[in-house]
Amino acid sequence: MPSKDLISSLFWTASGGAIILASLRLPLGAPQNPGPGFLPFLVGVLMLVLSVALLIRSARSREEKKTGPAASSKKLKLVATTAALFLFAFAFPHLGFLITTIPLMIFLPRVIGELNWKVSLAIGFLTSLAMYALFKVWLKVQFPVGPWGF
Amino acid sequence: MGVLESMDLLQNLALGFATVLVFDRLLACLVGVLIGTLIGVLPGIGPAAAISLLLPSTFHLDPTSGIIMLAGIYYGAMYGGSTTSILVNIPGEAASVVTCLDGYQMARKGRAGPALGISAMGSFIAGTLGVIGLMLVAPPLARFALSFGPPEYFSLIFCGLAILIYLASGSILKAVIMALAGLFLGLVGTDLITGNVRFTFGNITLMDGIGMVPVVMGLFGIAEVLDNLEKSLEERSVFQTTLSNLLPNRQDWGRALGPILRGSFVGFFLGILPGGGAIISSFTSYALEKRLSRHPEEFGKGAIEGVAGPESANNAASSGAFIPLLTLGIPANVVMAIVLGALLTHGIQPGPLLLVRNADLFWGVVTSMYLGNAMLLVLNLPLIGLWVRLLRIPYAILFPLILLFCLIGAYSVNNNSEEVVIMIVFGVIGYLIRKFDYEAAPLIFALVLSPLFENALRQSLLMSNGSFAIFFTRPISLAFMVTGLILFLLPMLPFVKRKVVREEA
Repeated sequence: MPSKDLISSLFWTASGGAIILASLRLPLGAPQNPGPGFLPFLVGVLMLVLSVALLIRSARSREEKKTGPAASSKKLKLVATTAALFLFAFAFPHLGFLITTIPLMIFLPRVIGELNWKVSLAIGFLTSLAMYALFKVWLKVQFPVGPWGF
Repeated sequence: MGVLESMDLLQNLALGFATVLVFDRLLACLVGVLIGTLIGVLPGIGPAAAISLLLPSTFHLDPTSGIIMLAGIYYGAMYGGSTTSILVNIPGEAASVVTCLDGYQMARKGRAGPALGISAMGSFIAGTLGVIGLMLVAPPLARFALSFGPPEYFSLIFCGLAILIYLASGSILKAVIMALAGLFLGLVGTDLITGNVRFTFGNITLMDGIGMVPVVMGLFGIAEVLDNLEKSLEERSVFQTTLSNLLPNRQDWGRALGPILRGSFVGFFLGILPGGGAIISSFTSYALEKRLSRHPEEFGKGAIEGVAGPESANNAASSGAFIPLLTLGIPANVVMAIVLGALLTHGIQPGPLLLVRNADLFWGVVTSMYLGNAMLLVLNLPLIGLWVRLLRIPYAILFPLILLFCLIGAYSVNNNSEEVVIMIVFGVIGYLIRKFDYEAAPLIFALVLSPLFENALRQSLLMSNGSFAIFFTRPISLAFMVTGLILFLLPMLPFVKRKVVREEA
């Protein structure tokens, strides 16, 4: 198992390289007249250099004691929560506020929070309607409207 | 500046009160401190997360009311944090960590009331002194900063970043990398000088730059929830105690008054320093009181000085922290970086000219902090029972609400669902940042200041015809650069041990 620092330093090395390449496509300008690619290029170079330093340091040092990996059921919950959030973000503009918020607010307490059905249903309906009233009716935020008019 | 000189303190105060004593602004202040305290009490949401959760709703107010409310949330959260430290031994936010040491011990001895009371009174006194300090220090500093050109701003931001990186809890190398990532992310979007579109992958939302709100909500709101979900959702047991007498007695006051006054001074001046702020000041005050005390052996066993000093210090620090933001346009900590983002969203450029151009906003916010402290004092003593009950809300009910608030908040800024996606992405990034032992603070700081930083760099180099020496030949700029460089080099010296300060927000 590679150390955490090794993984993250490789990520930064790749990012640094990508930033350098992307900024080279922009006009760099010269120190006398720096262009839009100037600072990003410097940032990319510095990031590359420092990530290599981190890479070397992590390769040299003995891996310090690792915190035990989270139980896989917890990991699954994290993935499920994140997936639910993304799903909401993509569905919300097309289906409207209430039709997406209520299921999300039932799913989170029931499946992730492991509350019973009665409480979860109550949370789902009450919070969604309260938020609807607060933001749409009171603060006049323009929520997307689903095909069914709400 | 003649305008500034002709205005004396009383006129400023009058302007401040005239700005604040309007129903809407008083309401904004009240709502801010109440929500701030509420969130400060709730476990698992720090002040940065609290502010980011409510940031979008303040955009519906006028700029002055919006900033008044944000400020209220900030010091309200500080206030709430001490309540949980004392009653449950769980610091609501990092600045109250020290309060746990003696506050919880006092509670266990049946003196929860005086502990809560003295922290409320101490915070009020410190807040009052902090506001007076702000009124005295800010105008001369702003006048001084009026002479700053692009090189000075570049060096100042560099120095601010250096301080923040120096104070980061983990590795310096990692903190610098986070700052670089923040600088880069801040550059995404349309270059305002040439009109070139940078690093957007053709996405229209990104052409305006990566929004401050989704990033902050993701990194602090969503990431915090994900992080907490991974930990066990354990029940918190609230210390069962009677809260009959909240008022400290005469003997308590005799012991606490010195620490409150000293804590206020320490907190205020440490709060001004970029990267300083509430956490360091509360630790410093605790150490100071322990050293000065005639009975240091009582510390950690329920010494009232150990509650009064740090609680006053962290409150005074939150006033001090506004100074660099409002006078120089440079935030002193993450929370101030978020406030800076809010000011920019409202179309207000913080900096030395703020005092001239938006005098009502400046003095209104300062005065509101004073009133807010009074509101906290009046409201919180009777409301402590309610806060204690809130502590018992299970996290399984809280986290869906936090998430929903983030989702709606991120959407409502521009009515753009792509910003919701950006927020969730940054939520995942924020979670990974924690898992891989990085810190989000330098990233946010750099992200907010990045456009200003780039502008200052490009203009300076135009002025100097491409020579970087310009940053070292102008005296003010030189001072900032040298300070910054020393801070980068210090940790590399083997005999300098860095003070490790845990900061969660």
